[in-house]
Amino acid sequence: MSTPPWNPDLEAASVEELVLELSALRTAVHEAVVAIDCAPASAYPSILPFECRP
Amino acid sequence: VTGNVSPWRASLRGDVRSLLERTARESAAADDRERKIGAYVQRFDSRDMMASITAHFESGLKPRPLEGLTVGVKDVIATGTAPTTGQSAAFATGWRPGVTATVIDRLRGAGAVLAGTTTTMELAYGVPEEGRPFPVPRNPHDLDRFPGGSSSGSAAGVAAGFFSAALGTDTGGSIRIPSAMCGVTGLKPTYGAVPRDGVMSLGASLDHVGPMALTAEVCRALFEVLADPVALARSRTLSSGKSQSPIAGMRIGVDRLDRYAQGADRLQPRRFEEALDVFRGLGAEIVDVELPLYEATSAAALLSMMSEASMHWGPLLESRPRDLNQATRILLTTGRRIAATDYLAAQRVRAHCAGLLDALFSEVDVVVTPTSHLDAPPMTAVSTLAPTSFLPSVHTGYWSGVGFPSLAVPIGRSSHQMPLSMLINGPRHADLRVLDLAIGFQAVTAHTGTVIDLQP
Repeated sequence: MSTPPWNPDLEAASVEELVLELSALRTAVHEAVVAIDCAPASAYPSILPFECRP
Repeated sequence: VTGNVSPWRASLRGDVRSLLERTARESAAADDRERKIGAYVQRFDSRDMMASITAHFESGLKPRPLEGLTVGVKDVIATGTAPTTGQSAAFATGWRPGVTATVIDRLRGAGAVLAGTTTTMELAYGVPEEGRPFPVPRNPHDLDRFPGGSSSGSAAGVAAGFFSAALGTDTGGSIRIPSAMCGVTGLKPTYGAVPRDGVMSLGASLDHVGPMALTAEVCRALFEVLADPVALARSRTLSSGKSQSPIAGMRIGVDRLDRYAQGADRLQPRRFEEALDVFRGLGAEIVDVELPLYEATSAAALLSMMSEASMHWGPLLESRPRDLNQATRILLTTGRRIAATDYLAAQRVRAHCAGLLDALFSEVDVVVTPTSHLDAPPMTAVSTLAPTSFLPSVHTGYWSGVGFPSLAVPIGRSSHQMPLSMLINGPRHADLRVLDLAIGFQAVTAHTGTVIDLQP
């Protein structure tokens, strides 16, 4: 855990590995959204910065 | 270990002398072990602390709710006195000088005494690096092991007996993970219940400030001071109202989460079942439940945190990359690769899951899960190039994603004689309910205590 030397190539490789790991998380989230979008309660998503329910 | 009775409460029941003696013992413990443990970024003068305690008592006024309680403050929270560094070279001279967080004003107003600022992962995010102008925190139970992060020094300092309580911040588990790894009790409150102005942001929709201490009793006293009045009133409405026997008759949902753990300590299942047996013995009904959308919500919380952190600290990454640790640069760069579509999907999942949990909490009073299936990893296993490597067996992110209260409570020792922990989680604003459940649990168990016995 000593201070690593500045090595942009090594860090870029770590970023690519982490991005690859995140792809599994993205899949889990998007699959869930497909199911959520089928639910009647999801007609008016609650993340909008205003109240949009009729 | 020192047993179940909060040492601070015992001191408070005595007189000013017992409080001063307690503070002196904590100070001596820090004199002896701080160089090895690295809990402090800046340690405050114990003589000033004791003078502050004495002054109030000499004035003849009644003790305030936290009178004489020594508190370490994670170094992302502006104390108004010491520079707030976020343990980053980028803020070595202080982030927002002159600012004092509302939580600090509330602590001081209630009679707490600040012991110092405590070590963290850089910006409450990265992984510690040797060679930077900050201590690398270590686990008081085994100096070759990680104390967890990012409220590392807060947990390590409580476990080592340097101070009686601490403030941490929690975006994906940063109060509960180090609490679990160091064997202390730590609360991620309901989102928004405790103000976070004057606190460095990481993921604005997930950031929480909360208390850490040996016992839930002290965490409860702190929460009552830290919480906004409206949130506290709602929490009182949702508490059991049975402070003498908060567990009898409660319906406790349990999800062991074994199906998601990537690796487990050999003794973790036994410790967890022993904890459930304690609840049964106290008259609770244990009900198996399955947390809804567990995988997707945990993923949504992590994606949200990484996106929001990169939004907040992206300009710093561009302007002063060499002042940041390697792990911080990697995490911030990665977060910028998360698409807006992914972020939006994550918010849909979080909102929907919160609704599903509202329904679940109409069936059970609380839900108990492991905090992690693993104990504290060796320091050598913590990689600056793979800073998220220990997360898969940790179960804190789910509750961050929905903003419900979540309390880490020690449940005994692992196969390496390190602390293990459970999470007690409640519906939104049931902070006092989960704390009272833990108080009942800790009244009949002996899993809390400092590494060094501080009793006279």
